[in-house]
Amino acid sequence: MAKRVKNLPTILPKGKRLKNAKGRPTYRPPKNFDLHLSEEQRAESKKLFTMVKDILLHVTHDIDVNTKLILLTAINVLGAIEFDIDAGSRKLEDAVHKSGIRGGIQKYLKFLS
Amino acid sequence: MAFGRQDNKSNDSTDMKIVKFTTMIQEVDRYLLAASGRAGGVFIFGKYKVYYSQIFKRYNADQFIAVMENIFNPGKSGPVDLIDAETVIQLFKEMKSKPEKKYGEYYRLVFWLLFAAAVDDEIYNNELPSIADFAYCLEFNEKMMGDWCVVVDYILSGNRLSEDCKLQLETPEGRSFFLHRT
Repeated sequence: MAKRVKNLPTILPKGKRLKNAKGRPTYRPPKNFDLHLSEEQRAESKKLFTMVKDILLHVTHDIDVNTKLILLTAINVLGAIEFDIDAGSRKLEDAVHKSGIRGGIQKYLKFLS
Repeated sequence: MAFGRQDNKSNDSTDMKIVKFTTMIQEVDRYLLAASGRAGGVFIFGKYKVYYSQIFKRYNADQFIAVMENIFNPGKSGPVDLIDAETVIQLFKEMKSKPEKKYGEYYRLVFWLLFAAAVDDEIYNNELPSIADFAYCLEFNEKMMGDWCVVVDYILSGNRLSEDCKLQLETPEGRSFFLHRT
């Protein structure tokens, strides 16, 4: 699975290349990328995508946390292409960006001085 | 560049800031764990070598992150091992057997990881996607993530976390974990 994730960028459009927690390359496709699916295909794919994510999130045995992360990354790579808004972990990431905690240490240093 | 990485030279002022930062971290951690009767410090799954706790090791060139590493992950060395499936099953069983404390330790880890991201820009830039993935695995939603960040900001603004502090949190999980309210 990790190998597949690693190889995906070669067949996907230029997106944000990142390293995951284990230092392996991971991939975030660009927003607004369109696979030109029909309405029917979109609806069916979205249903499937949501179902797979739900299953993954609720399986608590047989899959360890690290494997879950790898699978989620892979699913997000595929899902985020067409259903960017459904990529749950990206929503969480956005929530952090919105919070403005970046550089929070400066506030603390100001408080100390 | 983060303050903690500016240089390795130590002076009285910097030392004092580090001491105050250390005390603050220990106080907050003790408070977070007060309900469970634990004193704080090393994560209970630290012995299982969950690699997320090793973020502190990877970025310990920052003096403030080094402080966090000393508190949460002392004396760890060598390569980062992966948690094994059997251990995860045990952890989940343990969490499910104590529903009132479900995910408590993971809530704490996500909190300190977000705190570390606020302290060190490199962690923010490099690790935030994986921290978000990790939180997503633990069924965090956007509002919860927002609450966790509100608390990070509250503390870094020099406020003290307590059961009767004036923090407004949106989620029951946040109120329970940070304000000890049911």
